[in-house]
Amino acid sequence: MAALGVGYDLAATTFSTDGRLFQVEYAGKAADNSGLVCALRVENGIVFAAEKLMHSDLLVPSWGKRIFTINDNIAIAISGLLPDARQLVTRARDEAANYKSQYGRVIPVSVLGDRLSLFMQMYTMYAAARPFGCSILLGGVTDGKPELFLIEPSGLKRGCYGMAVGKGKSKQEARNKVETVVDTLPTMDIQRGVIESAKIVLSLHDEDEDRHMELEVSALAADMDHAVFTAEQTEQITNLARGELDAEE
Amino acid sequence: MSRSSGFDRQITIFSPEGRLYQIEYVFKAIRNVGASTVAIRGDDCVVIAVHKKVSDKLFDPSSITCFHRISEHVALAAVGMSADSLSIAADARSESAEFMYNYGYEMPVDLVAQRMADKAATKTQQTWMRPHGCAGLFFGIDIERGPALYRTDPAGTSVGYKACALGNKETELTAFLEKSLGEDATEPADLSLNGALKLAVAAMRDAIGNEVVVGDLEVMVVSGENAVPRMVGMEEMEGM
Repeated sequence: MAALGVGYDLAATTFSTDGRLFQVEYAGKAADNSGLVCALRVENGIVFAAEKLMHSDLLVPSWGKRIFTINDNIAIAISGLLPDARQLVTRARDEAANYKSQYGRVIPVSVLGDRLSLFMQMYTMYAAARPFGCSILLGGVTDGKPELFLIEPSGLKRGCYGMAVGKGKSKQEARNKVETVVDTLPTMDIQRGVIESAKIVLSLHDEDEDRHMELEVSALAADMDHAVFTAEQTEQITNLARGELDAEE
Repeated sequence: MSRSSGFDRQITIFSPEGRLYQIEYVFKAIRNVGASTVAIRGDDCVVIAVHKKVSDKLFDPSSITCFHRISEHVALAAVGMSADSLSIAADARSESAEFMYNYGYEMPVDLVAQRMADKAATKTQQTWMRPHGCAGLFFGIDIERGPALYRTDPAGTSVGYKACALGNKETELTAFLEKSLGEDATEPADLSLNGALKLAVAAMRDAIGNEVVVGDLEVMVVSGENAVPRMVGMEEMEGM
């Protein structure tokens, strides 16, 4: 498998013999190389949950954010190379502010998604640059309706009911867990959604391999600005989620 | 084969036989990744059908589309890598808007296609940028010439078609179209809007299999004089 792209994988501008862009595909692998991040589109909003892997006990908690507010009704959760993703967050904030300034209304989520998608795609076109090594989950509410998008390093943007990214080997397990709740999402409320997303992240955390983790949870709704929950709130959510997971076993 | 000796690694290098392998690889990308698409130019309409199969339960199918509006009367069906498709759609919109600003009338379909093809051609002559991994079908009703269907590919060619197929089942679909609409066709085809829609569905069934239902297809048409391209709903395609 390692030798598959040999020779054709050194530049983003080279197509392989069967028409693949290996550099972009490798960027996709980098995008999965971080803690799990999960987002669910519930009845009137979006919930995000992220697994922050704390590699050392010397690290101060509540740093290393993975969920960012773009404006009151839009947020982004990131996976992969976090510095790359922070550049996208800055770009998203600029786009949103520019749109508001130019058109006088809040940017619709899918329009922001298109702009970020084009921005990420541009970095796959030039030999002098490399693709972004991160995937983003863009969620927000437009005209009262929640929308969630997954944007990959190639710039591919797809709308989702729910999605999980990160943790290479358990990404499929995470997506399977999201699939088990996907049918109940259209009628789920924010509170329930927060617990469900926390459960998905907590149940897949590998204590032996990844040691200490910190859970980061946030939500936004038609009537609620985006907010990342405080440490006390997160602890409550963690306890409730763990309680339910233990009961299920 | 010169493949192993490095003639296929960069855009600007010809192989000893005079081939540009990178361009050929881009076409492979379109065939491997692109959804099966069939386009038919009728008597007073253009019909484009895309076989859309979203197998992953987590994705919202309504957010995934191959169609992009370029200007009021011109649309694009882009087949191949999705992100690249979005990029050429945005570029085509920009070109179209600039033309309108400069000349005061809407950029005709064939000119949009030609302009995008010319831009694509520049990417085959420089190493700093790669070609887009998608082919585009520009369509609309031209006010002087009637229904227009133009295919633009990463090699920089722009050609008008009576009917054309792209993507996964390109070969099978093209064979069906030539049989039905070519010179050797046994009977003249019905190319009214309804007839063209039926033909598109029949082509899909012939190439992909009889289990294809109208619900698996995303269809956009433009018909009548001065008409705006529109998506076709399931009710209109009932019974096909």
